[in-house]
Amino acid sequence: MLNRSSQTLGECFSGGVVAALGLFIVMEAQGFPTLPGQRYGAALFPLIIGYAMVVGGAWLALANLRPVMQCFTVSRPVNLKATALNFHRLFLPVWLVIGYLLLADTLGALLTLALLVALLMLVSGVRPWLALVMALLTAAAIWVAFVYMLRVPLPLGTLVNG
Amino acid sequence: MDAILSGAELVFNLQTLVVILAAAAFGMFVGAIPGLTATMAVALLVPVTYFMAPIPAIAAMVTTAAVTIFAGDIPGAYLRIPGTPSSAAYVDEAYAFSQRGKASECLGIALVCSVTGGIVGTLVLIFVAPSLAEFALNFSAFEYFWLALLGLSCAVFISPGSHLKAVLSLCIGLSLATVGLDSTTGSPRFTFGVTDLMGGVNFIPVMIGLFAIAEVMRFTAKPADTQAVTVKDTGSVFGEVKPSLRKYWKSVLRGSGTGSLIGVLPGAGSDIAAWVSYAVSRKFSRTPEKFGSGHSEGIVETSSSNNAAVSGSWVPALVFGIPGDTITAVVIGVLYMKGMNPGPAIFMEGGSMVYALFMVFIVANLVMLPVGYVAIRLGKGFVATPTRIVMPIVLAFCIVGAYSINNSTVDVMLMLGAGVAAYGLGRAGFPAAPIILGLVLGGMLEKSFMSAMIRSNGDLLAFFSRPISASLGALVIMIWLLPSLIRLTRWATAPR
Repeated sequence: MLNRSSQTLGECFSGGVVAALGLFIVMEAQGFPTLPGQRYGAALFPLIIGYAMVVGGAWLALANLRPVMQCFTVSRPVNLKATALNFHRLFLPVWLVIGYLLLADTLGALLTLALLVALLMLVSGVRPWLALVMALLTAAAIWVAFVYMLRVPLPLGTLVNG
Repeated sequence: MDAILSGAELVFNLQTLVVILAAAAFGMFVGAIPGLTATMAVALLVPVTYFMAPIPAIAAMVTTAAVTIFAGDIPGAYLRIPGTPSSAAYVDEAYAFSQRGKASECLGIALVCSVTGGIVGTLVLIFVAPSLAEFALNFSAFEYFWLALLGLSCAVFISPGSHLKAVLSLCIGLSLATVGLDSTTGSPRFTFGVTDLMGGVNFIPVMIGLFAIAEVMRFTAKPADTQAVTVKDTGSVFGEVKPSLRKYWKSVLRGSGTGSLIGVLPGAGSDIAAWVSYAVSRKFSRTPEKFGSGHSEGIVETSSSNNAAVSGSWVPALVFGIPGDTITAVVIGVLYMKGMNPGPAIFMEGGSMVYALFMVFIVANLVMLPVGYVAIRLGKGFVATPTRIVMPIVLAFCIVGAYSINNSTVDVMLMLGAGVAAYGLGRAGFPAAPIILGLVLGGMLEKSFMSAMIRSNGDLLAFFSRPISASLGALVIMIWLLPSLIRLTRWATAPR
């Protein structure tokens, strides 16, 4: 029952987001130039897609609006602690990628990636020694495959470079 | 003859053969781990192929796709969990077979039939593609517009779940394809002044986000428990192959034929082929009551079919540039990146490249035999690899893979954005495949649409003025109207 209502809420929200995105595309496309001597140009294709997104997204959102409103009117106890924990678990990969983007230039890509792998394994319940070994092996494999063989200039980090 | 020899030189060299072997081992590992899909395997491989010559790059992806589909049978046989959606159709059959202590025999049959199906599909490609390409030479922008729309329409209406959501997913993909410089007017669209977006949205980070980051998020949201292998395995890998093939050789041929045919249809992939073939096999069996109890007849036909579909899906991909499924959509993107634009010209110009492509398909399927044998022997170890160890490693490779294309952190952010969006959309029941198909085919669809509009001076009736164009157009309209017509008929005939 809870899954169904969260799916309905998701559909309503996603429909709204898609419709808003479509509206943005339509508004932005108004300023695109036309072909010389024609009424259409760079805007035609985005406009068709934009209108389709507005209509389809709004349809989906409105079709799910009533069940969503019913869900909101029925008060249900919410376990805030569990919700926050689930939220953090879900977005952990996102925080880790953002962490990589922020730290790679300082710590270096390989060390940051090793930390990222170790952290995610530890949170997932892998034993610490195994997480450490796997993190080091992953960093080594990335170094061999991308830095040594494919010559990808991964950031070395100011800590290493000085 | 010279072209064939030059083609062989492109394939049978140390670099390409090592790449094929490594890709096979990688595909076997990914396919054998439940939860990791063939598309994810190919998505993770693309950044590496970016640095390769065209033939090894295509060889890597073709091999990975073919091998992953077979390897999906391994956790099916040991754990009753299909490794990839293509194995879902006969997972109960394979597990029941394994419970008799014959997991290796079951997988041996699936392996040989997968190789046979893959080679039959390749033969269809070799014999059908050049004739189709000759026919396609007469196509103009009108036909290409309808063909692209046909491919996208099939992807929308074949995908399970709500058609509206699939259409919206497709629109998201198509809208991403409009970012960058417009090909007709040369004006920038939706770039917001970011120079990196002038060339368009890089499809590789988007694809990694859609198929790998979203999967990692699903894992962290709900970590899967490690499953223990309980079935005993005492048999030899090829022990049951000979008697099964002798008894059910017709099923192998029928499965390979059905799979190739379904693979050729744009939008229909190996999982649909597997379901159809399992149903056909049961329908035509003399002993349908044995199905579900570990009967090799269903395994023979279905495993031939899903690999034949993988090979068959290359026909529309290579001849028209229309992807048959998500994997071929990814490969088409890579072909464009390598300057090997798919289309009839590839076949008409002939040359070593085409023969090399054909040889790659055959070698990719043949290499499955030794690699598959080793994988079956190590099968228990593969399937027991916990996802909590694999997923963090996948995340690290996603980051480096997205970064390595342009050495740009913008691509890492793009990957992250695509992953979060794919997770959110997936939770609401939106399929991810139409997004990537829209992104890959969007450019071709708009280009052919605008060319046709300019040629016809904006007259939409011109889209139906040529016989082939009119037929394709009618087919597309029929596909779009069919669900409504079926609903209307059911409503009209329902008892009141």
